[in-house]
Amino acid sequence: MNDMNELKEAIKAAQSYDDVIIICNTVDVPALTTTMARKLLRVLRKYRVDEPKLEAEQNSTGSVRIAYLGNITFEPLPDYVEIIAACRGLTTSAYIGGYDQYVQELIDDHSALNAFAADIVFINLSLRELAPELVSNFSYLSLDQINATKEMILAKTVNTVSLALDKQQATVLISNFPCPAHFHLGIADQKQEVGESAFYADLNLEMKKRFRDESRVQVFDMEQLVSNYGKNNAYDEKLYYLAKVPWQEDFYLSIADQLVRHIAAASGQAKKCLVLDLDNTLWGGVLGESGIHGVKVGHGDGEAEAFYDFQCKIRALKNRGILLGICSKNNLADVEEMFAQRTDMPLRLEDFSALEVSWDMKHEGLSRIADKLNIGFDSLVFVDDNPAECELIRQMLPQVDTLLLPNDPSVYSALLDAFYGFDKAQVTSEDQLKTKQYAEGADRVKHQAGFKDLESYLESLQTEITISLVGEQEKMRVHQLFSKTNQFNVTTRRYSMAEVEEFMIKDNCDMYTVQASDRFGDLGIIGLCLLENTDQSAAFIDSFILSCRAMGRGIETAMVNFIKEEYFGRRGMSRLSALFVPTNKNVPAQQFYPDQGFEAVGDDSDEGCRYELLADNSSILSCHWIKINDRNDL
Amino acid sequence: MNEEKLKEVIADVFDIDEDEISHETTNETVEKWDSLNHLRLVTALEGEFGITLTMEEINTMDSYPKIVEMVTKHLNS
Repeated sequence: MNDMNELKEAIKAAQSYDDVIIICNTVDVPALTTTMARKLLRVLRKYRVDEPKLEAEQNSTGSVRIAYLGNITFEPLPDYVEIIAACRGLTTSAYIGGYDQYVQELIDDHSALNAFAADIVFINLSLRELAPELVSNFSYLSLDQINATKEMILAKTVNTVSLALDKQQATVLISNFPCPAHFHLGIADQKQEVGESAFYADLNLEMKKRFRDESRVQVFDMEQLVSNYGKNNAYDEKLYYLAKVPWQEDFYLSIADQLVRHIAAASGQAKKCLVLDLDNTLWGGVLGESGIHGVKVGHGDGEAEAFYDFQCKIRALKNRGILLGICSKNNLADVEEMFAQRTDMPLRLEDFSALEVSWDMKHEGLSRIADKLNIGFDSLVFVDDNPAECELIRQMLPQVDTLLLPNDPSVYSALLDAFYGFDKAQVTSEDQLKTKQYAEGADRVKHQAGFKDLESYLESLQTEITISLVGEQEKMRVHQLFSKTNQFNVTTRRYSMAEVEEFMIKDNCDMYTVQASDRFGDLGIIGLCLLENTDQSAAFIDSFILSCRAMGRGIETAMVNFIKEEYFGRRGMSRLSALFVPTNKNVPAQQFYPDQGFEAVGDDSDEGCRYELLADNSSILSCHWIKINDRNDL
Repeated sequence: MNEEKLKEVIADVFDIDEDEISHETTNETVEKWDSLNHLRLVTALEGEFGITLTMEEINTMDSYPKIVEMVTKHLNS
């Protein structure tokens, strides 16, 4: 839910803290605006305070307890963290330490902080308070003073962290120190023996080293966060002067998101396996149509390079210990050939721990992958460019995280970067060998087969089709379907444009197109059927074609129903004949005629299998989830 | 100036009904108008209306009429 009005309605209906958390769960974090967050904050604060079950909430194991310590005003960060965490499926509770009271609170065994027993301690120290001379008068400090200040800051940091480790069983997050946006000496800073830029780089590096071997400590990279957001936009001087609030309102969402990233990693909920589609996901175009050297991946072409880079990102994930899988509607032999020949691709077939290449529904493929790797559905992330496939997985396997790729491959890599479900606090050398070891099965969490109703998924797609006779406007697309479609194509007859034009005017031929749309948008013309009347009472289906992006939802059945009604019903014919010519690509159409009630009539010719359907034996097959629009040209 | 939107922003910050807000509304009459929520009000006003209030204005903005006055002034300048 990322629509403001929808959100407002949902918020109005919310009655409890849990309701608010459920609403947050439906919000897509990258699309969350400050305005939306503010709306959520209002109800969150309201029910958090009003509900006496807060105590119970704290005792429940599900909630992550975060203590905020430092010398700044943390508000409203904890609230934003609560919202972002809820969007990511985590509940949190907060303890906000008194301003600059963290040492006392940590030392005192009876303090409210120590009673809180945090899971995460977030420490943020502002140098404006800790080392005001450094911030205000850097250029007047001697080298000795600069070095002494650095040691003082490091000592303070290390001591505070040690104290927190000692008093709390928590993971400690300590912020590093962002380099200022502007230097006291301007561009001459770089020529100083120790300028400001060098000082902060050194300080942060030193800090990283001090905590590198401490498994319960993570450096919170505020320097990178502020840089990514923009140093000119991240701070709010006015609020700092008024109330020691350091950051701009809008920046809190970024800080909160990064904090939740650490929290999720610390609570060990990292995803284990990335399952990828192939066509328009790992390469541009459709393998079954464009061929091994026609699909886009590699160098020398912008789009191909974007897919190449995306594959590199995926390969890097493998090196982090993430298992890779393929779930694609394709011919296995084509895919194997692709990987065998295109060794210029970063990914090899051996990089994948599970392959599901078939014409089955994708939730079945994912289920077999979970089985094979012996992991739960909640450890899987599924990536596809087709919104209907992502929706199928969302509905049938709601525990699986889905990532829908947009139309433009240039943003694929950034999308994967922004997804942090794979984050682990630490990557070990063992992780890097995992793909090989995994078959042995380290993880014994069995998935629960939780298939929901397929029909309700098909209904939710709200597929609508319009069947029309081919006109001038459609003939280009019709020619394209004849010449490019390999998979759902019963005869694979490649007709030229001239032949297409001939069919359009020939009296004994009818050529129909099917245009489809669903809740995700217009799919365009995705189906084609060419029939020829052989005599007064019979017709032959010369070609029947369905584009692969429209497969698996019964559109072919709706098309055949139309033909049955048109030929047997309206025209009063008694017989339809058909031909299936097998190729090594059209496996998906192999069972098409038998499925539609046609009978095989003698395997006579070399041409293929002949089928026939008599009007008396014909029945309409159900595909009630497809709405058939009125045609005005028939 | 869109007073409806202004009231919505204020209502969200102080968790009150928009109808409760009138020209009699001050930081004395609204229970949750404390210093922390005052800052939240400032950032919400700045964010929603695309304006920048000065520290002096923030410090003197203690009633609904004053809020209307400050926001209107910035929107017109």
